[in-house]
Amino acid sequence: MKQKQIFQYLSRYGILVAFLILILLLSLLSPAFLKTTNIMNILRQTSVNGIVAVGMTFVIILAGIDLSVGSVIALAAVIAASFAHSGDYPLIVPVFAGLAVGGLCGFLNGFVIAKRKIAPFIMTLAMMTIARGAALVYTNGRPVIELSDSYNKIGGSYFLGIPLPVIIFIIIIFIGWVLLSKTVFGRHVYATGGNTTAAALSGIKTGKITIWVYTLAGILSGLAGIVLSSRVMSGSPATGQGYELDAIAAVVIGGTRLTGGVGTIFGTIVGVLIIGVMNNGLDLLNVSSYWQLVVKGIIILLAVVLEKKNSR
Amino acid sequence: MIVIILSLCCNRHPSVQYSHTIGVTYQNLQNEFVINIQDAMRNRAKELNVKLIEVDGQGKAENQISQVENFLALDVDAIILNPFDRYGSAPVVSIAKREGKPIVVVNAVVVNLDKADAYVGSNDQEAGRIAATYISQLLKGKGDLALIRGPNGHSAEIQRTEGILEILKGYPDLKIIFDQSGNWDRTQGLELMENWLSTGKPLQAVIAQNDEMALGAQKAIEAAGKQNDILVIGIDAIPDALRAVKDGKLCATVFQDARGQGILALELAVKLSEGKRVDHTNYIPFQLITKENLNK
Repeated sequence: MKQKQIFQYLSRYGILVAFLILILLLSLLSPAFLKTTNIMNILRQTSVNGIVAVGMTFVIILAGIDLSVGSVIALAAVIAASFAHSGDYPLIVPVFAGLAVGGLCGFLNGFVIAKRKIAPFIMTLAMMTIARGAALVYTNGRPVIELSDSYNKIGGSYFLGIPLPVIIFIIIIFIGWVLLSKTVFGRHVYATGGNTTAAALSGIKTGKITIWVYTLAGILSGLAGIVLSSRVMSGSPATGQGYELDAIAAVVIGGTRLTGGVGTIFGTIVGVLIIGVMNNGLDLLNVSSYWQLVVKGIIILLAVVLEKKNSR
Repeated sequence: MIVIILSLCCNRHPSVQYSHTIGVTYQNLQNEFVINIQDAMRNRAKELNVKLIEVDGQGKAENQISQVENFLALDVDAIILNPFDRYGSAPVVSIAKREGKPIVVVNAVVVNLDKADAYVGSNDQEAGRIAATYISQLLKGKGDLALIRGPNGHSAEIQRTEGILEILKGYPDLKIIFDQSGNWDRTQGLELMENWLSTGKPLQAVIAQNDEMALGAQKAIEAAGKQNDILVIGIDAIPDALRAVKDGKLCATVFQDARGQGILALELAVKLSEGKRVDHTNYIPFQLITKENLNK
């Protein structure tokens, strides 16, 4: 047990070192990098991916995967936005609608995976297509525009000088951390992900855990859809494409194993920040968009290799 | 039960006799601009009593190829191709001509365009030229610019960039200091702009190759309180952008006439299937939309 803890600290250390090197490099290369406004930019830009990645952490610890994230973001975004025209409903209605849609998609994912024993990859792949299609059907393919000021404030306003999406992200981190590390539910998630059969034999209701985890991930995708649509003041059915991959990358960079049973919220946050810092830094340096793709891939690979080395 | 359902289905379309059947393959129906072409084409088809068989290429040239093979099996009278890929969608034209079917290409181009019976579209280089010319006039030929491109390699991205650079070549004091792709996406336009602004380099104008990205960039500029210092121009004239032009948030947008393209493409396809002759190249012009001419 003690040895395992040391390994865990080492793996955290490895990813932190990678992160600090990246920050050091970028602050040397660009004088604008460490300015307060830029740091706020990075945090705000990472918040949507961060919210999704917290949910993805639970799913991957459970040895699952959620490919439907990007599409569920789009579906929640268009449905929430459609209730957010000024003067129609109080703010709570679009917010609740977005969360409910996300939660429902997640629940369906979890239910089918748990009860019908369908591989998470397949089920969430199906949901990815269904939710994207539903978003297009709902809007006829057009973005939902002319949203109320109060809705646009979710993504655009500040609280104590900190962008609201960042505050939402921090709250979600805290809730995720408490759920995963401080509750029976969290222990059951680790146990189910590590060895489902053993967990079931020891009396854990693994089916129920699975349903809850995917529902949670769905609600967080819904929340991400609300924040995203509010930030750009329009709910587009084409939004969110590729967000599942950014979230999976963040979780894996953060040291969570795709085989399940191992992982932390802390690691995911570092993973999310690495991706965010990288996107921001490459823009600041005006690296050509062709090269950005190459550089991003290499940095993700390096971060994971470094993490692997340290966790051995 | 089945009989009832079937009879209901049939009753909804009481044996209409269509004058022509035309197959249309769209590049991607997740794009608002393409949907506008579709709407115009559908309305005109209804008026002319033409049956449309519509399919969505979903952003893949290979889908468009198999779709046109299906059209041939259905023995349509003519085909309308809205190509996704300049090269990849070109076989669609060859296949149609091999079977002797009339084919009209709309909106985007393919390399073997000369083999098609007709082309309806707007020259994307012109859109780039119009946007860059207007910005260079407003800035009196001097200043630092940011360019937000469409997806790398997309035909509109390539041509709009060519048009923009062609004009800027004439103004040595207009420099592009930032240049990235925003993939037609509003969020990406917003985040690029946030990042560029935080470098602290002064900027005089942003040219975005579509309105979504222009609106995203504008939002970042407004949040930084620089809306009076930096001009933003977009292309497409989507409703949200027209509102922004009216409110003075965008200095202009360039209108591409989706409706005009859709209507003319359908009319040409009908004429061709009746054996009539049509002009090969039909350009629908772009128009600069500013606050002054917005209400026209």
